[in-house]
Amino acid sequence: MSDVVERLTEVFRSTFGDEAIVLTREMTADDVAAWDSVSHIELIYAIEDEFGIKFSARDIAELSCVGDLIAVIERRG
Amino acid sequence: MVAPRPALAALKETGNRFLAARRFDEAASVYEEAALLSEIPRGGLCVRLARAHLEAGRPEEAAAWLMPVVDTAPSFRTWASAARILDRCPPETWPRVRRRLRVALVGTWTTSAFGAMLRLAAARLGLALEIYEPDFGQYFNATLDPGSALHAWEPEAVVLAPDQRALGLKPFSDAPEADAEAAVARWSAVWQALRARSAPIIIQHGFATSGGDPLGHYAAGLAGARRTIVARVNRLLAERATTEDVGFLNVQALAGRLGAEAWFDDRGWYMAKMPYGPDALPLLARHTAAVLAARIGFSRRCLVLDLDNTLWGGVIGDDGVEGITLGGNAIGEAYADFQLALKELRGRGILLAACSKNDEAVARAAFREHPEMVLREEDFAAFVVNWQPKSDNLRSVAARLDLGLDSLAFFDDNPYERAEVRRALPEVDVPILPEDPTGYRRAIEQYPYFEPSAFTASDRARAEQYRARAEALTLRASAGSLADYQASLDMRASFGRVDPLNMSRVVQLINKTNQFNLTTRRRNAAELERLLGRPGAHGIWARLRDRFADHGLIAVAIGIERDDPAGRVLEIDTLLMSCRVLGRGVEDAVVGELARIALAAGCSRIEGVHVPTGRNGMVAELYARLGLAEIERAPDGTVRWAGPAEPLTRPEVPIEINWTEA
Repeated sequence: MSDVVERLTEVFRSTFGDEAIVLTREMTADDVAAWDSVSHIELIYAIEDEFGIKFSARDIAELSCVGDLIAVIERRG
Repeated sequence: MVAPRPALAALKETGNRFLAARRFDEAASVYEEAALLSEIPRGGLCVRLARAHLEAGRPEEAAAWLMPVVDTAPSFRTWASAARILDRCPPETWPRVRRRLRVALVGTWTTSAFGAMLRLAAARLGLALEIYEPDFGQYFNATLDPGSALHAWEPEAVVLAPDQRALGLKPFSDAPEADAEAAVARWSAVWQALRARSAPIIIQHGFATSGGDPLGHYAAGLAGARRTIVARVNRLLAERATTEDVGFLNVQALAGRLGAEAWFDDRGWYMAKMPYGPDALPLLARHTAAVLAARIGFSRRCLVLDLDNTLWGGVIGDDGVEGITLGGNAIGEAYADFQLALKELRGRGILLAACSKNDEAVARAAFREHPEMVLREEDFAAFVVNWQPKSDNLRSVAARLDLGLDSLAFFDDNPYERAEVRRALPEVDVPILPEDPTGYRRAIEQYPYFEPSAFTASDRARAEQYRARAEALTLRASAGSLADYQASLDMRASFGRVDPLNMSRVVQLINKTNQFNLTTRRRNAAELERLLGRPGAHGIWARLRDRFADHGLIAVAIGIERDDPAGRVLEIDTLLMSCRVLGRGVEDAVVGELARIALAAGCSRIEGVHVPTGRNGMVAELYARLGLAEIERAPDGTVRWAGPAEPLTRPEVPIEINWTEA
């Protein structure tokens, strides 16, 4: 498991309060109960904090699955 | 030989590995060990401790570890995560809950993350909040309409959180006084509406300003400049709040403390309608909770002070009156300044008490003899100086002053003494002082839990003058009822046919609107173009603008003509609207316009259908309200409605309608 996925898993677990989350690249908001439009921005802030990066509004708008998130983190990181 | 204590970083690392592997008991015990290495662990460690304890089935331990997060750095991530864990711990498991309170949180922005943090910050003060939030964009409807769900919920307290955008000010006003007064009347009308129903505690957020001015620095000297008016609105609203016993939160001051660059976050606004930056929300929550707690008498009333190395540098018993550091040099000035701040606090009614391990005569001599001493013996309501444990002496301070322990705050430079008091007397508030005495003054000035809620006799006289002025304002504005309020909004709806220019916004609404959506038929752009290309298909949109804001394109409707034995019918295939303009009569206008289109096309009747999805219950009775009759009810709950095509005739909807021809 890559370092990014490991750190991202921790961010997901702490943001959504669900210690059972196991990430896959295909995973979308529909797969995580607490991941809705309101908590999406919380997730973004938490990821920015963890990886020390800043997403653009376009990045955020284009995200549709965990794989997209990882791609942005790797590009911005 | 004693083994060296493992370093904090190594322990955290081990704990993190256990947590990731979901070995919660082991994670908790390693984190506990890490927590012992500092007086109060950093927020991140507190949150991990709470997570591990909660998953290991110990919600009491979890909740207890969440409380110190409120006193740590205001980091969004830490707070948001702590708030979420707290939500999973029942209030019965929280430490020292003194009162439960039903709070309605009403904002002009997305307040859910803030609401969770407010709950956390209030829990730290012994308040277990149950929070109700009206739907987005319902600030005035929820509060002014006596029949609203908010009123039915019967809140004991209401937190009103508008943001500057909702002021809707022009960049420059030719009538600044009138504009400011109108704004004050509009926002304070909400208090009167709330009080007319019940008598809740009301907390009003003031306005913080961001953004520049077309006139640059020059604008500062102009009464009509936007920022000048916002400052005026804040002042008038705060004065009026004091008169009307409403708690006012000086958001502008908090924004200044964090810095406007961090306080405001335009990206958050555009993406999620959160105007404040991530790290602003914890600060806002902490202070909102403090003002709320003050309203129910939970503020601290007495500050108990250590002496040596707290009020002056050095130890009076060893160094003597001449040897202590107070005034005279850089650090001495910091101590003297701290004493000045304490004196100001005493001046506004906070009791001071001394609690020190010293010989009493020696300690008293310092106050009598040191030329730079700001505080005097008579400034202390209690002077408890002996060699007993501090916790015993705090008890005797409380007894002497006839105060509960939960009215005391204790300032001491010594971490050992702080820990002793925290352990023995958890009711006493024991903040951590900065190590550097030059930070003491700011620490006491920013300490939020001395917040007053009552006013003194002289305040009261002044308040009477404010009250008279405030009443005059109300008469002029008369924005008390919802109907008056809506009439004053000067709402203008513009309608148009769906065309390539607005296609993407229309498709977006069709695919994301869940609640105010009669049929929830999702379509992409190609499907929509195909549908609307058919003869007898009508796709329309509506935009709404009012005095304060342009809400943009907020509603979409599609009508399809068809032949029926009883004559030609226009069937409403799609009707949806953004919830941010709920309760303003826009839906009435949209159906009215569809009816006009139907008549023009030779249809005498319109039909509509409600397809229940589990999320669109709010519109189940819409057609009934608009005067259509139920004609068919399917087993899955889908209901078909029909009635004569009649243009909108209800005059009570004060909305002006214009058509834009493409």
